[in-house]
Amino acid sequence: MNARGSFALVVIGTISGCALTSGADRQSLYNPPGIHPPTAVQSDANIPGQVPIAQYYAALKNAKDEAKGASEISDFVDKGIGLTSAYCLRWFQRLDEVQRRLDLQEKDFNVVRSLGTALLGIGKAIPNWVTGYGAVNTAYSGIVENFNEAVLAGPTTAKIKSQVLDMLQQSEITLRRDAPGLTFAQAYSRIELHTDTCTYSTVRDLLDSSLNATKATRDPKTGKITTESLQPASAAQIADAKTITTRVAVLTKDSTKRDEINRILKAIGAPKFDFTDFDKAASALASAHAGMKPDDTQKWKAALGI
Amino acid sequence: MATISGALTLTQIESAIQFEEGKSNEFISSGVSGKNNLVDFKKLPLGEFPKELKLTLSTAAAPDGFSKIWQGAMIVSGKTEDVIAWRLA
Repeated sequence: MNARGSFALVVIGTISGCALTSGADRQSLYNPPGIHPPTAVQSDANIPGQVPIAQYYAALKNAKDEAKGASEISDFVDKGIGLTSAYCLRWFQRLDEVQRRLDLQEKDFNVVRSLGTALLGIGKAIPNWVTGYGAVNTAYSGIVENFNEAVLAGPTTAKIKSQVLDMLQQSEITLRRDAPGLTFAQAYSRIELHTDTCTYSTVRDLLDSSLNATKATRDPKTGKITTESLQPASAAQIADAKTITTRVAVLTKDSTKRDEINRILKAIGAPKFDFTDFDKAASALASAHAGMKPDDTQKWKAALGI
Repeated sequence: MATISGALTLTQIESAIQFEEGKSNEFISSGVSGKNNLVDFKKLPLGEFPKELKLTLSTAAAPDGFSKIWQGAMIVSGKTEDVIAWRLA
């Protein structure tokens, strides 16, 4: 994150106030610290017991005048990966702390609102967020409350952390592989891209993809998350669900069944039922099946000839 | 994630989860979200089904032949209850 971005985060946090944490604490709830902060921050590089920032800046100084492929550049990349991992893990630890505090004060509107401020801060800092903060504040409260519900205080926190760390590991493997062929400038840029894996925006993307997989949706204007609502079922409907699922599993694996799938899609009232591509037809059937409710089972049985 | 109304009885909640598991989704855990339950499932390969699931209040006896897979708060008939999810061993 550049200096302007860091400044924007501080401004957002400062203008809105926060009862949940002190100013210094709150800053650690934003994205993990930028790996290339302003020079003034680099002067703290030798604070003992902290993340390996001193080694990183030493490696940076050693590498910056070296030619492409130099071992100093690979060492710089190595230290950058280490620093990123340290910051990322600490960020999740701080978010865990916030979640525990919220568990104690769940009904305290001021606390939720304060967390909203913090979450607003951990969004990607762009100047428009600062200038537009007042205008969007009300709408953003909705996003924050729902995001808190779905991610920070929900059952998905550990999964998201796990996925972010997995993504970070994949990025690390690629970066280490490429390091011997990079110039210093390329290495510097690639490390920044690597750190971008562990940010609020990545978490939000993961949540979105998770929501897509579960048929939940987020209103793009209000941020409200709507998840599929499950209905009670009779014993017969539960048994029917298994029979239908087994049949759908067979159909979606048999590439000769495109026309039959199209017929079934039409029979169950799917919006599209004229696929020329088997994979798309199978995907549409699987998607429709995922949304099947107990009251739909008779319709599905008829369509499948069960 | 899926939502299950907190107005439902425990038997109705159990049946809603069992129906979802009949679509090759495996119950993992549940969280309270306002007056509703926010339930987390793992997608299984289509056509694979988890073993039978039962829900009981934590004060009830464990069902024979079942192993505990989750325990936590659920909104049941409008009230917060300590619930245990059991899976056929």
